[in-house]
Amino acid sequence: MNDGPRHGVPAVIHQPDMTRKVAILAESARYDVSCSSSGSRAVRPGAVQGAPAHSGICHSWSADGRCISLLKILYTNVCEYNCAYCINRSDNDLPRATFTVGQLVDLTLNFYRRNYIEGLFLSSAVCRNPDWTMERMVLVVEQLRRVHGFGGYIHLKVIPGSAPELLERAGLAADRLSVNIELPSEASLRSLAPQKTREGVLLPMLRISERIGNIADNRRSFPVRTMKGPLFAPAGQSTQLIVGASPEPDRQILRLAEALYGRFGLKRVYYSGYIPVSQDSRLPALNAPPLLREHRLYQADWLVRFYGFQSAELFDDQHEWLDDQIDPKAAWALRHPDLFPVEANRASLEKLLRIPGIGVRSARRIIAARRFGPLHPEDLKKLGVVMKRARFFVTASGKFWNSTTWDPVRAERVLRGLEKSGTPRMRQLPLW
Amino acid sequence: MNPTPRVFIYENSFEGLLCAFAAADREELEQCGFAVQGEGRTWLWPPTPVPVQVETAVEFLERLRRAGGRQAVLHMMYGFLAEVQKAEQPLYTFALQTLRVGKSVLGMRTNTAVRQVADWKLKVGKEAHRMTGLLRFMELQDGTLYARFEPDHNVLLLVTSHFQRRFPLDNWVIHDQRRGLAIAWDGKNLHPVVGVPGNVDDLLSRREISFQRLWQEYVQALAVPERHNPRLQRRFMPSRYWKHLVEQIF
Ligand code: SF4
Repeated sequence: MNDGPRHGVPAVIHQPDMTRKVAILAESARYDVSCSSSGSRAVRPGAVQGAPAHSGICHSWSADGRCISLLKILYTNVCEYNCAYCINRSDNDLPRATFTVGQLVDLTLNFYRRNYIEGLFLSSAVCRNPDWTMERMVLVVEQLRRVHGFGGYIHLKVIPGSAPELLERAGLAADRLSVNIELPSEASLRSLAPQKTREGVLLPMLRISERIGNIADNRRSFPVRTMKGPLFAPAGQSTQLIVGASPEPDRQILRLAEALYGRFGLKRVYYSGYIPVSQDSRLPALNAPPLLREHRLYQADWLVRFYGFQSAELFDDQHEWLDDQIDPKAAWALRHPDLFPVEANRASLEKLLRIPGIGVRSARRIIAARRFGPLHPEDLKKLGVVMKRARFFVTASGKFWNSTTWDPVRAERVLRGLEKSGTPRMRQLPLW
Repeated sequence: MNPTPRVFIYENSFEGLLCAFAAADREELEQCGFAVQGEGRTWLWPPTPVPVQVETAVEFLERLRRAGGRQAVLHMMYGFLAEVQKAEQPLYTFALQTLRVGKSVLGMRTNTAVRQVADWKLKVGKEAHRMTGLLRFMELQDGTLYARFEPDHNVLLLVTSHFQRRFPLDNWVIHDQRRGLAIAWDGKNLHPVVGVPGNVDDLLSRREISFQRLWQEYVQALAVPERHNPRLQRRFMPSRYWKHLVEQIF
């Protein structure tokens, strides 16, 4: 009976405490929201097992309805720091555990081999000091790549305050890097995470975006993608911030996100509704996590990234917070009645995208279909337009759908009602 | 005088279907019937059996490709793999439209047949993509990786190519239990498997069960209790797929 290693997968030394470690370190990692495995086309030279799939693959969904794509886990949850909002803070009484490099490598390879995961998302608390922790994490990734020829997706979290050399090694081995910005303002960071500094967070972010940018420029002069410059974080960088643990309004949060997308070239900003994990007096007393607010922020973020909106358009001095009854696009449309109704047979893609109930796919379909002849209101439904929203804002061949008329006041009343009765209000977006 | 209604009987394969379409097209028919050979239905008028000829099928597909590009060909193929009842007429209409208008046929969603075919393409593609995530491989004693599933549509071939890229050096078998089909990869070539042994579960490697336990432990620990939302979980991962998921056997 051959039960030995194949293709560099080590035979498992099955420590009895492995189950306990997996449970503890997964539980400590679960508040991190990002699980994306998309965006990497990097086929690594020398990879003998695994390749990233460009569109991202979910392998399971946990009982909270979130996609499981990567083995999201901490290297250790032993922490020197005491960030008020965090379950792993040093003064929290919690079971603690630390992997060895070998254990985590073995776990990743064996989960990958069974198609449980698309790769590894490795994060960590700060054990001993940032450099010690970061080096362990980098060793895991380097072993996976070099010793085992692992070509799956790797997302590595950067420990703020760790040495630039480690960041460099991390970028060469991982597909994506992220530095958590944690809180939307420096004041909040100072109050809730006193051991972290704005520089500790922003410097590595800046460095990563420079490194990625430089490589991209080099590449452009080599049209044939020879491996002149080694890959550095080919799936880019992302970040996460906690919403609802500090007082910043949505307007400020989205302005920050927009700047991160624009100036640092981030691929994603993740918003994590604060889940009360401690009784600290610096924190708001919430009886439930602000999931609806989180949902609205993702919707608005979507508008900024894919629908050509600027965050400033979604707010004004009277509206610093996103409306909790209406989605951000409908709220914007209702504040601009002069721009509606829009005629589907004539409007440009940009205009179509601004109609509530019309998404990127249905807007494209409208443009493709109207080349075969004028569209009528019934056709819009066939093209995937959500008519219960769109009907107030769009005409086709001059006619509204189902004898709707242009009446912004009624539209607002109906749309507010829709959210109350219709689909569950705290729907979460699939996060990738 | 009305022409006699025509029904083409084809062998149940993609090639067979394409031959039937080619035959109907040769007679310039727009509307006609298609039926799978051996279904035992009776017809008022004698139906026309169409023999499978690979060259005819390839030629018809090539005409489609020249007119509508790769996407049009994929639409036909996925439409067949969807295994939907009475899909022939919409697929045939789609083919004729493609030959007529070319690539832009994909924009004609206001046409019912085109919309149906485009929706099948989406559905089949979606299930294939979903299965690239939900397939669970078990390690057997000889190191072979074995996965079984029961997809709604016939997506076995579509997922196979994904795993060739993912596990190029391993030996693996993917088994569609619902259709009794299986494909094996030996590190170089794909082979159809005739007769998968019924006792696969007795052949697991020693460490297989411990990794299944670790995965179950992991999935449970990862769920945030404050966000508990089983309805959402089920929406993404419909319960008909659970049977073959390691993590759902608690
Ligand atoms: S350093 Fe990280 S793990 Fe440690 S308390 Fe702060 S947020 Fe939590």
